[in-house]
This record gives sequence, structure tokens and C-alpha cells, in this order.
Amino acid sequence: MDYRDTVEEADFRSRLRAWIEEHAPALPDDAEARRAAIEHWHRELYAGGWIGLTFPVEYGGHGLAPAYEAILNDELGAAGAPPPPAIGHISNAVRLFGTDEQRAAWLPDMLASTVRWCQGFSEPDAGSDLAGITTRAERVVTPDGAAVYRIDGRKIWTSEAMWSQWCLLLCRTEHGAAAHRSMSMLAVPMHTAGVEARPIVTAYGSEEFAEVTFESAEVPAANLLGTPGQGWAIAMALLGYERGPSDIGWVARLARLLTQLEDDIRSGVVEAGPAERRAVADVWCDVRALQLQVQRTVSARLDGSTPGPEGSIDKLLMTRVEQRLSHVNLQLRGAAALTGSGESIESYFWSRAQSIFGGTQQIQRNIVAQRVLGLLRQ
Amino acid sequence: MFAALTPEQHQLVDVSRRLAGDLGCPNPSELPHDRDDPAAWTTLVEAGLVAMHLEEAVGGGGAHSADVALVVEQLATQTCLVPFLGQGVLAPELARRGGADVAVLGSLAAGERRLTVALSADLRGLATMTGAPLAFDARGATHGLVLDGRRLLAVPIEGRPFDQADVTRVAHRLAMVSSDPEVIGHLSIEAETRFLAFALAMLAADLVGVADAALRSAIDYVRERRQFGVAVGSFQAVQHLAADAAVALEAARSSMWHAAWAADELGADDALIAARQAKAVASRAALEVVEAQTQLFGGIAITWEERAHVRVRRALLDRVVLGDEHVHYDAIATARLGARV
Repeated sequence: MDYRDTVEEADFRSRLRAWIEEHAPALPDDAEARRAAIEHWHRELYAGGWIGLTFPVEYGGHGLAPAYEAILNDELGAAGAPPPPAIGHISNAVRLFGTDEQRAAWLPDMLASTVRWCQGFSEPDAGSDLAGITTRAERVVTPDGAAVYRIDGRKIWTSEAMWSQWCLLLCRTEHGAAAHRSMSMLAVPMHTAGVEARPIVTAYGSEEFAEVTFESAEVPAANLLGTPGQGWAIAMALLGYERGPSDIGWVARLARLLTQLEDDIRSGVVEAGPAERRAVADVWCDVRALQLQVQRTVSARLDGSTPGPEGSIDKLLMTRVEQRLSHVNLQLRGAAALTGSGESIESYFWSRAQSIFGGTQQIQRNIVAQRVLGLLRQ
Repeated sequence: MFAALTPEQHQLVDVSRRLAGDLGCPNPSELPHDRDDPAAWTTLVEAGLVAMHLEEAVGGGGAHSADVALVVEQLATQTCLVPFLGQGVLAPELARRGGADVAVLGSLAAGERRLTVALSADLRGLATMTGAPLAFDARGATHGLVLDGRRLLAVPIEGRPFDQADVTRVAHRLAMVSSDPEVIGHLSIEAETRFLAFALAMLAADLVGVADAALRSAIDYVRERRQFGVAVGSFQAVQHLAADAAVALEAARSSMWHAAWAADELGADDALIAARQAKAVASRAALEVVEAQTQLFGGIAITWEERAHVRVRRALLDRVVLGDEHVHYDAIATARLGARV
């Protein structure tokens, strides 16, 4: 073990830090302008050579070890810069399960952030019970002889759907097959006739989610990713890619929130007696433990192994730490947290969402108990 | 950055796990007792584990503190009675930091001299000449190390051991007035900081080992124990308790690895903060895990014959030795936020 950067990592980090200082955008308050600034930022990141760090060179990546992806997320988070585009799981889906034609058609623009993708998994009646999705796609031949999938259904909590050109859609295609073999993964252009995205306003006022409806929307059969019936296997293979380096970025953001609180205590903006100081030190210990845990997870993947169910331990720790930090932040900031810019309230709502999105706390506990600790499913 | 075990460290874990399994822990019905087990001590000496971090020149193994921590953790999983932590790890390190001469260090590395560390009566700090210090992990030890100003003394152990919560270890009073103590060395303030960083990391390793064993044994138990016609481990209420315990345990393990690495690699103050963090997180986690263990075992955990209480007792003592989490929160607050005006 060595918790220091290697010479190469340190060099990469210092070049990156200088680059961020020069390029990090100031985000405008206006939602539309903010969106545009983030899209521009993602293209800048690509132009700077910071996207697809761990992705194989043959598919347009840089072929570096996971530690570099971790450094990118760490530095962006620590600088308070917007995170890199969340394309880890979708790009790996296309890389691992796509045909050569699909990789050539989709990956370059995805990495360059010139074409954006969203992930259509959850449905109003299939949240934690993802296997219960009912969105259907029928393979039919149109009058002009083209093989297409005709899609009907509804997806929800689709992050960034409003700004995406493509949706990676989990849907039922193999009627009559066993539940987990009846699903397929389709790549659906968002401009397809019959596809409509409506924004969902979050509890803290932003519009990052959408509800997407599909009414007889037709896509070429060639847009099938993998084989018919492989959708569930693809979805499960991807879930692990949500963890790891991106966790490092999120933890860096939490550390930043805590550092700001500590700064405000030192400067006297926030008053803290012995109990409050102890609470801050306590949650600092937690944030450090979380940082060290996610570093360990990234390091354990240096051999190229696929992320496993152990990622659920990180998610649960992240939830626990983020919610405790958020409570301490609200407690110490008192009335100031409830007036003004609303940053504390936004981070508070985020902390509550942490135990819901990406697999609820309860589902994650099931995964840890059954797939890590080896307890039986009832 | 590489925040995981190397192949060599995995090997060391395997070897020490087997060794710990061989040493084992007596049936709780035989506990507590204060007999030394010279054969067990010799096994550790011959395996090169006693004083494994001392320089090779004095007969040590030149091991990294991170490797020592891995061995401490494995021996703790079996709640072994052999006093490795106190006499094989902490006392040699304190003597080394205190600049003990080659003869003393050599006899410690050879396992011939049996010194242990002594603690203040509240268990929070190293023993000084005031108060009524006690020798920690003193099974088979002859002397406890005590600070007199900056002088490091070896004070003879006195009288019978006294009862304590942890039935795997023996605690002794020291002959503070009646004896003529031997001067072992001189402990500078920086050397004391370094020792403290090392010691806290090793206590965190002991806590992680105890907690790991507690969770594993409880998982094995709920897989077998049947109620309502099914294994109780199939109930979500039971599974979620176990899953939360696993999360606490792994956070502690990640913190402990880092602190043990930092003890050799970072400056004294940074190493100490890393160690305080690990000891605080491990203390809190171990309590959560051994209590989850108790709940998962149910009524049998409250019986003497089941080993669950042995782990709870060891965790309770480890937690308090050199300060529980609250002591370290206060120290961390002072370091990070400045002294309170």
C-alpha cells in the first residue's frame, strides 16, 4: 500500500490542477445558461484530454489505470468545479456489449460530449423492483420492409433526459420468457416520433430529472444492444460502474462542504461550543473513512476486475456519512442555513436522495447481506 | 496511490490467520485465568512476529507498521490470550522510540525479556510516576514501561493480577514505590507522538480483528439458527442489521490500514491525526459490530459459554485504551479548528 501519488500520478494531478484553475467555469444562476455552461465545460474537458481516462485506447480512451479517473474526480470535486459527464456506465455498456458498428457510431461522440445519452431504467411502478418494468418493445416489420422495435411505456427519474439525444432503454421484448431473460437494451434517439420527455422539478428546485413516455415509438432493430433477452444482464453488469471513481468525486464535494464549515468556525462566522466542535471532528473522521474506503475500492480494481457487490458497502457508507454531515451542517449553521442562497438546504435534500437513488439503502443492505455476507434470500 | 493490500500482504494475512487459528482461544468456561502460555509465546517468537518491526540489526524483522497491523488484526480475530499487542508490538516500539540500547532491544526481539506498556489509571495515556498505573496485556510480563518526565523506566510488576472486563488479557499493578526501576531510555516529545500514532493504529487493528470475528461468527450463526421454519438469517430485519455492521467494519478497516501505513510514512503530527481518526472510527465501529453480534446471536450471546461476550469485553477495553472516540474527537477538533478561546 502507498497512499501517496506515484510520480506519474503526481505529475498528472499537478497538470490537471493547473488546467482546472484556468478552465473551470463560473456557473450562472439562470437554469438555461447554467445548462449551456456545463455542456461547454464537458466539451472543454474532452478537448483538454481528461475524458475516457480509463477507457481503452482502441475505443477513443486513454487506457490509464482507475487511479487517474479517481484523481480527475477528486480534483474537480475539491475545486468545486462541475463533475465530468456521467458516461461511465453507458460507455462501458456500448464497449462491452455493442457491435463494432455500434461502437464506431456511438462512442466517439459520447466521449466528446457532443452527443449526450441518458439511461431509461426506472418506471413509475418499477423502482427498487427494476425487474418489474412493463415498457414493451415489439419487433415488427414495417410496410416498407424495415425491421424495427415499436416501443410503448413510461420511464421516470431519467437524469438529463431533457438534454439528451439518445436514451439507453431497458424494456421487455421476449414475451413469455422468464422475467430476467425477457428484457433487452435498446438505443433510442430522443427525437424519435412518439418519444416525449417532461421535466420533473426536484424538491430543491432544479430540473435534472424527467419522465419519458414512449407511444408507438419505432427504432431500427439494429439499435438493439447485445442480444435479445440480454437486457437485464447488461443492466446488472453496469450498476457497478456507477461506483468507484465517481464516488471519489462526490466524496471530494462532501469534504469541501465540511471544509467550508470548518473555515466558518475558525473565522467565527459559525459559533461552536465543545459539543459542536466534537460533532464536527466526529463527522470529519467519517468523511476521511469514506475517502479511504472509496480509494481502497478503486485500488482493488487496478487489476481490471469488474466492480462487484462490494460497491454497495461504499454506497451505504456514503449515505451514512453524507446524511450525518448534512445534519451537522444544518445544526451548526442554524438560522443561516434556512435563509439566503439555500446551499445548505440543497445539500440536505441531496443527502436524503442519496439513500433513494441508484438503489435504495434498503436494496443496498439486501445486496450486502445476500451477495457479500452470503445470507439467504427469503 | 494504492490503498489496498499487496500480494505479499495478502500472504502475511493468510499465514497469520493460520497461526492465530492454531493458537486459538480457550473455551470461555476456562476464562479468566492469568497463566502464561510460554509455548504460545515461543510460537510467535519463532514465527518472527515478536518485535517484527524492530530493525534487523537488533534481531527484529524490519517490518512495516502496516504489516504489523495485519498480524495484530488476525490474532485478534481469535481473541488469542498470547500478549502479542502489549509485549510483542507496543513495548518493543516504545523501547525503540525511547532509544533503548541494543541489548534491551535484542532481548525483546528474542522474546527473552517480557516488558509491556503501562497505562495511566484512566487508561487514556501512558503511565507516569503519579497515580496508580497498571501494566496492560501483562500475561507473563515482568515489567511495565513508565514515563518519569522524559525518562522511560521499566518498573517491576507487583502482586496478583486484578479482575478486569477483558477476560483475554491480564492487568497488573506496578511496584511504584518499593522498587528500583531500570532506565530504558529517553522519550522525546516527537518520539512520544510517533509512538502514540503507532499504538493507536495497532489498537484500531485489534478492534477491527475482534469486530471482524464477531460479524463472521454471527453470520454463521444466523445461517443455522431456525425460527418460523426458516433460517433467521433470511429475514430482512436480521440482514439489514448485519449489512450495517459490515459497512461500519469496512470503514474501520480502511481507516486502520491508512493509519498503520501513515505511522511509518508521514510526519509525526500527520501520522497522529491519521491514527486518532482510525482509532475513533474503529472504536465506534467495533462497538456497533459486537453489539450487532450480540443481537444476532440472541439469548445465547448473554451466556458465559458462548464466545460473543469475550469479543464484547475485548472491544470495550481496546476502545478505552489510549482514549475512546470522544477523546480523539476533542484532540482532532483542537488540531483542525484551533484551541478554543
